[in-house]
Amino acid sequence: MAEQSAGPAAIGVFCSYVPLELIEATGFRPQLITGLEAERSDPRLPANLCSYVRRCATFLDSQVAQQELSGLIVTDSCFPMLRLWDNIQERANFPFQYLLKVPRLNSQSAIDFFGRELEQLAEDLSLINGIAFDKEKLYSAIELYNHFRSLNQRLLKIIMVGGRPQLAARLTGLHASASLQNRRELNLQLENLLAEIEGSEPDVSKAQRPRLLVAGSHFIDHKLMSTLADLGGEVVGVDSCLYDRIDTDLIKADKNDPIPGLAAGYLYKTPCPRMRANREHLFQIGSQTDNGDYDGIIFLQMKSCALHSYNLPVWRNMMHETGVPLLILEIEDGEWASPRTVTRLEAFLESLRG
Amino acid sequence: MYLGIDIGSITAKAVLVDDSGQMIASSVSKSGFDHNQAAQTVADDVTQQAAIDMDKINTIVATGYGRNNIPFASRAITEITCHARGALHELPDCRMVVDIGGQDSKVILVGPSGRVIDFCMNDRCAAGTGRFLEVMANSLQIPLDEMGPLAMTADNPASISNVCTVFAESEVISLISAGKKREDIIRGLCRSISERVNSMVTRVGLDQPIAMTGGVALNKGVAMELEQMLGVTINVPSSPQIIGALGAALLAKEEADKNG
Repeated sequence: MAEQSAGPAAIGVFCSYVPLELIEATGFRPQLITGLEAERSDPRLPANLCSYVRRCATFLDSQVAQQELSGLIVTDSCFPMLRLWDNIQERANFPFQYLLKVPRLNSQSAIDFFGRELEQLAEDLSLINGIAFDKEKLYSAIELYNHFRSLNQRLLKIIMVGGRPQLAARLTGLHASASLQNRRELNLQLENLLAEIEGSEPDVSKAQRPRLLVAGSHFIDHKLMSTLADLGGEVVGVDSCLYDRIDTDLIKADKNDPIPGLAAGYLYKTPCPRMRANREHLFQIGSQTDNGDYDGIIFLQMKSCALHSYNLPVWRNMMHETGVPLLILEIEDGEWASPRTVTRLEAFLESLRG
Repeated sequence: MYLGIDIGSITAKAVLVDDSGQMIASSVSKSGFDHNQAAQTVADDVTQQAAIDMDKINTIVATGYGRNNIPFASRAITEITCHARGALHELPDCRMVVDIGGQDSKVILVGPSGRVIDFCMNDRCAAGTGRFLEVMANSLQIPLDEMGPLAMTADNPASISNVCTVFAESEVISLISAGKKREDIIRGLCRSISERVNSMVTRVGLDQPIAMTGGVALNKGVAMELEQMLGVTINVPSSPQIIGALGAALLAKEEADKNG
């Protein structure tokens, strides 16, 4: 995060509801704030608030953030995010600070509302960059990101086949460095990875490993993917609300007015439990477990994330019905690497191997 | 011969089993700072008891908190898997293991073959662990091993409301000041540990027969409270603190058998 200085100014985003295409189209570089470099102990926020938000608050005080970011977009997606917004308003002084309102449904009226919100955001971003909002540029950005999604979907299909235990770590590693690159460069790297993988056969001996879905409300850390492979598992699916939207359907946008399509795309199939549609999302995972796609599911529950905790009983019941073992780790952001948590991961894999 | 070594947060344990899976020797010592040294100490002890050299041991499996710090072990396996395997050996139809060690407690659901079906751990806080009892024994100025027998003589168990070791210690001191009998306080402490275990049992779903392992199983007061709370029999092996090491030794044998 500290290395980037050339190119367009960066706008930090905290939640996967912010359409990155819109930031790109208005001449900025979107930067997903992970907060992973920061401590979880912001003294101005209570200890039982989401640890991701606490880290982000600490990060925003850092010299790196002050030097790197020209602006921030926060969403009103959950209570801790709103407290982050309060925190930013009280003490941050970035040239651009914006609260994006996100509806809780994906009905037509909700999509219309979100479209109007995005239009306003696009106008405001363009204004501070001294340019007029250009819908053609937005359409081009959507095409660029759709290409990114299609590359990821091809890679995810290969990952799902199995026999390449470190591939999920490599893919998520590329995504982790995405905030340092522009999307074109990332797409090139994904194309290179695809070419390399498509030119080789999976290792059949490694296809016997337990097939894992990693889900929940944490950033998917590529080091976690790598650790799971080192412990003898293979991550074949990823489903996290804080993860880049790599496996969603391509955005279907009208060239003359791309915003409605963008709004609809960003309200569809999100793993965030605040959306009513999430129930459909869970059932989709349920059907995948029925198909035998996964031998086990690791659910990383962000400590103090009320939204996800409401869904846990649904996950438990669903996995109980399908018979797929479920490991729930209720941990703070980034805490998966503690020896105690690794013991749980290791024990879970031992139980899957039998 | 097969050796299992369990390096826990407080004690190191070793169990030696023969080619038929029968336990030949066992040893318990302090873990201390140097896990490798502690492992060596208990390994030396069991080989001396069995009058064999280390090179007669086919496979060594390490488990427990310090399992990755034993360079002479062939393999490391988590304590969750090892306790399940060891408990099944002691109680052949065992379906649930309650293990309360020095610094964590866990509840494990076990399948018929010894496979772990589900598990739940409390390792964030010392409350409900062996360390919790050690701190309380210190406050009550009695040896740790006298707590169990004393708890059994209680007639009016104290209510310990705090779930934190530090605050529970303050509460115990208040109860002493209020003239509460020592055995009643101890029984109250046993009950508070059982309540924590009960919440973990609820999370994974009660199944039985239940084996209780780990050093805290030596405290009869905890086992009795847990039995009353869950309404089922709690089976405590004769040496509950070595069950993890026994499981490690049995898994070492099974691995050697599998590899021919």
